[in-house]
Amino acid sequence: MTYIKVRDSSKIYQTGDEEVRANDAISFEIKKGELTIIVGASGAGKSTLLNILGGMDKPTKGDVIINGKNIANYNTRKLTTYRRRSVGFVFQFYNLVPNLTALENVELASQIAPDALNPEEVLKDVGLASRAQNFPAQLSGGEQQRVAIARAIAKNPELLLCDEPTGALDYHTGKSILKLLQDFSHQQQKNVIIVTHNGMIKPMADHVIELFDGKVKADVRNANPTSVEQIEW
Amino acid sequence: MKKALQKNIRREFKFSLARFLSVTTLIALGVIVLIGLKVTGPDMRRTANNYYTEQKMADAVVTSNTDISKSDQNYLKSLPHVKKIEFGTYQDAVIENTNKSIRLNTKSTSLSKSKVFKGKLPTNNHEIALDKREMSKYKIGDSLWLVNNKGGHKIDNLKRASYKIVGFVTSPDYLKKVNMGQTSAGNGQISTYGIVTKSAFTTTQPKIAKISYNNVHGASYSNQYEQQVQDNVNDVDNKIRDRGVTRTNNEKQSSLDKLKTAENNLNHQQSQLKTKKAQLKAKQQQLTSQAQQASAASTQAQAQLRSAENTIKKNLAQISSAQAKINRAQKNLQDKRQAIQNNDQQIVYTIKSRNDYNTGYNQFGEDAKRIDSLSNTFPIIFFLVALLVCFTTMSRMAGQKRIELGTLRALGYTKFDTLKVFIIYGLSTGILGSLIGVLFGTGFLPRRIFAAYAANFSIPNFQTPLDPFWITLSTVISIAVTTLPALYAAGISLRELPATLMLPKPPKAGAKVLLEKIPFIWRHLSFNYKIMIRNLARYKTRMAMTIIGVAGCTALLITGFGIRDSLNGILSTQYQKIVHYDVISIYNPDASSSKLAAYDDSIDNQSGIKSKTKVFYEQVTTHPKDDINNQTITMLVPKHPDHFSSYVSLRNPQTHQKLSLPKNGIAMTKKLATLTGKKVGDQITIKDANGKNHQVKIGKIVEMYAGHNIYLTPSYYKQIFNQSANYNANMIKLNNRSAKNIDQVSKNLNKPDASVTAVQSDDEKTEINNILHGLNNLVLIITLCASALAFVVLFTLTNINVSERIRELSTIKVLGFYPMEVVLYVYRETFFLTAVGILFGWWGGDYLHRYIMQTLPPATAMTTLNLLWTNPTISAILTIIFSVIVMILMARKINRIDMLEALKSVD
Ligand SMILES: Nc1ncnc2c1ncn2[C@@H]1O[C@H](COP(=O)(O)OP(=O)(O)O)[C@@H](O)[C@H]1O
Ligand SMILES: [Mg+2]
Repeated sequence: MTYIKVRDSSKIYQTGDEEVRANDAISFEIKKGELTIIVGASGAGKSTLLNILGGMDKPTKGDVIINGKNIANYNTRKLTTYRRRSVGFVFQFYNLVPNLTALENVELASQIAPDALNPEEVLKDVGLASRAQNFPAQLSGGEQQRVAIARAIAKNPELLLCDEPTGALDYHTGKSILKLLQDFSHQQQKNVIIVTHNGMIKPMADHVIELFDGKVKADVRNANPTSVEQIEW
Repeated sequence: MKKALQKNIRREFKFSLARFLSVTTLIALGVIVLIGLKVTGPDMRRTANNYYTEQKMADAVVTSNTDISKSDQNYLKSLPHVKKIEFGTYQDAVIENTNKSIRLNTKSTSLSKSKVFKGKLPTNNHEIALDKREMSKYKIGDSLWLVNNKGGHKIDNLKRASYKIVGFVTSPDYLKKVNMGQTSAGNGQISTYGIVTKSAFTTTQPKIAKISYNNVHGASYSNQYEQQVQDNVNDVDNKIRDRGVTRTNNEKQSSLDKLKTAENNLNHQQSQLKTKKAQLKAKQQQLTSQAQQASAASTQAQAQLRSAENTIKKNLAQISSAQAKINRAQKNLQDKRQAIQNNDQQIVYTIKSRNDYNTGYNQFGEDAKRIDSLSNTFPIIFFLVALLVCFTTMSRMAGQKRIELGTLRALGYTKFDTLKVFIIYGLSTGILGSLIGVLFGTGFLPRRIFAAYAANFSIPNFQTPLDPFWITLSTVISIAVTTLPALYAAGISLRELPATLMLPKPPKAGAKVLLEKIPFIWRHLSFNYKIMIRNLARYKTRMAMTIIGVAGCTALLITGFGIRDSLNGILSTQYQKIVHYDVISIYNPDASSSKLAAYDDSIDNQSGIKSKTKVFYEQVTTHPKDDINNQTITMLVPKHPDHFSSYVSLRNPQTHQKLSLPKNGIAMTKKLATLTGKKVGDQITIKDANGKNHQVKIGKIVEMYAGHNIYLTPSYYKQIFNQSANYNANMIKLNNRSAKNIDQVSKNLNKPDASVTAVQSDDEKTEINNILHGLNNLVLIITLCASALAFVVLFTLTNINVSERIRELSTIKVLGFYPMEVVLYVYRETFFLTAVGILFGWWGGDYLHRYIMQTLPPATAMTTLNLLWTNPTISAILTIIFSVIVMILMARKINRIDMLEALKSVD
């Protein structure tokens, strides 16, 4: 069952006379429950694509159909509602609100979503039950990213989007974060899309889309994804 | 060479335009208000002084209630320090077919000259120059017809009733546009004036003498000048009055002498007549005996005798009529002698300094002083609030540019290079802001204030020169505040190594607030409020700034509106609760009995009088100890103290409880007590119209908002003045209290010859109204400035808040917060701080208002200190409206935040 269908989606930036095609006629489909990895070199257009999928940006042309609805035509308000109900975001630089405790950062998201999960439960799931009352500055990078993931998951989204989630973390910590994401996708049957420039982690995904210079270079499905623990890079 | 650096600095202006505009506006507003209010008072005095100097305004004036005799003129010329002296006269009349009274003055050539605005001054006895304000009604070449109180063209003291208008003038004698003075013509108020030649008058004896001194220095209104003139005046005051007394006695004596001669004359005639009568009688006897002898004689002789007899009879008849004439003349002379002996009408000469002879001079000075006293509080607070916010903004700027500093240092730029951006940014905002401030503060604001506030004065050519002191001071402070805080903050950062500098400053750790330790309350707060409280605790300086800024602006708004409240309250209290009479008709109690009867008739025949009571009315003065100027006081002695309360309510100034006239002392109005520093039981010295000093005891202090009054019973009057009160006025209440009716009645009351003038209780009302009007305009300017400040302060602080938390806002936008939710996420705090600021503002505003209202009112007026409940409400609503407008502006900014851009980077 197709959950996401992208058809000829292009994002063109016009700077003066020059035209930058960040995404150039991209097309692919993602099935329900797939853990997808979008991989490519820096500047390939990965973040642009992810932002469009997350309703934070709109394609210049083309269609982006999520769960049967074409969000490429959405206005700002509808996109906000879409983000609020259906999308969880995880960034490279955690973007936690420094003035809120771990728990409160999670509550910030669960507050506004209609079928939110219990924030304490979610924190426990990411292994941070004991740090719930700590402020971001009192947490390590990995712990902060876990809080960010918890915050994204707490909304109970159908789609979890992660832009270089391990980019600022050391190897082991990064690995544990990827594990968390893989487990989430496989156990909850949710769509998770991870953007990375690191091709070595491709085996962990059900579906790998490679971008090069704004175009899809490869679109491969992986019937037997490897568990993160078994991947070395 | 360092092109990139320059470009970077230029970009700083472009990318932070809102901050640049905020800081510049704050500095500009602060400087405008500071300079504007600080220089307006001095500008007003300078303008007036230039006008007075140019027109050679007399330093002192001697007036007479009749005229000044030749020998007294010579005496005045010989007074010490007199540089120049010019004599003049005047006559009041009514402009035909109007209700307006006009005072015709002789053209002065050397002192208090009128300034020609258009046309020329009169050169012969049928030309006239009018007040410039009459230009709307007349034009040069028109003729002006005047009438006396009875409507006739025969006007005392004037050769003609019609004049050709040859010019329009302003005159230092008439500085005020209203309440130019009392007159016996028309309705009792001089409403305009004209300048005519000396030859237009029938009399040659002057009524006034204008004097300038050779020992005065300094500008008008300066202590140095005022004190010297007052000293000169005080030195000769008694001597001049004595001249009046001497002249009165001399004239009395000379008329008695004249009378004596006339009497002697008459006696001589009488005796001549007697002799003649005796002769005739003898002749008649002789004829009768002749007739008896000649009865038998010829009829011819009999006829001759008869005709002789007839002639004698005729002569006798003539004699007896002459006798009757002499009897009448004798009676007449007796009456005259009686009149001369009874007449205690004194010739009074008074010498007065500018402050006393020209109420406009005094009031203009008082008005300027009022601005001075405002300028000691209002603009200072205003300027401080503006500076405080600039200070915060600029030190934040340095904080925000931390990483850039590190990068530049790492690239090898010197510390000075990296600080350049702050120097250039600070200098340009500081200089631009001060420049705008100086420009509008020196010219625009004083002009607006003068136009609105001094609208009642006709003093031309308002001057607004640059004031080096305030300009330098405000500019230096402004530039210091726009440069130093950023340099200081950046300087501290630069002490760190570039490497550490480049790392984002570890975000300030969130911390539990006190409230969290009280779980009972904390648990019941909604999530949004928890966040709000956390943020408030986190940004403590900005929180304080916002509260101070909002509190300051609210306080300024409250004060602005409060000035109006206090002054508006006066009118209703004064005229509904205290003063109930409408007009005091003053007459000459020493006029002949027939004239007095005519006066009484006219009052009895005047319709629409509700009630009247007799009072003794006199203008007296007192000299407050620490003051140069005298204060004029209206002394009222009611003939029937028991009925007085229905004309004037004496009330306790604090409790407003009704008081009765004290038995053994005077009732004195509150403001006079404050000015002289006297309290109940103290003695106060008053100088009566004849210049005699009297010590009176203060029995009660009573409420009154405009003008100084003292009230005393007839018995206490007698005790102090050693004579019974010579009642000279009727205090009148009218059925129809409209200004128009009061005017009409006053005009009628003024018609009889015995009438002196009619003083309307309205006169003071107009006066207060004018002060009110001027102040209201001033208040409008003040509140506009305060509003602008409130707005810019809120905008600046919120703008910092939003800019600093752009990442946080982007995050919650990504999470799917709707625009309004995002706005409220930051704005909840601002609203809360605004509310707290308003509360502090109420408190501060009440305080500031009390302070200003104690210094602001003129010496003759008092105000209530109360704030109406509408005031804090309106001030709060205005502040909230500004907050909402700022929120709308911020909402637009927040919605335009590019969340992707903000989340991409680390900083
Ligand atoms: N706002 C923008 N304006 C102009 N060009 C942009 C903008 N955002 C991204 N790009 C360009 O689009 C291309 C793709 O960027 P991005 O999607 O961020 O790449 P990636 O995430 O794969 O590293 C880059 O060449 C980048 O320069
Ligand atoms: Mg990227």
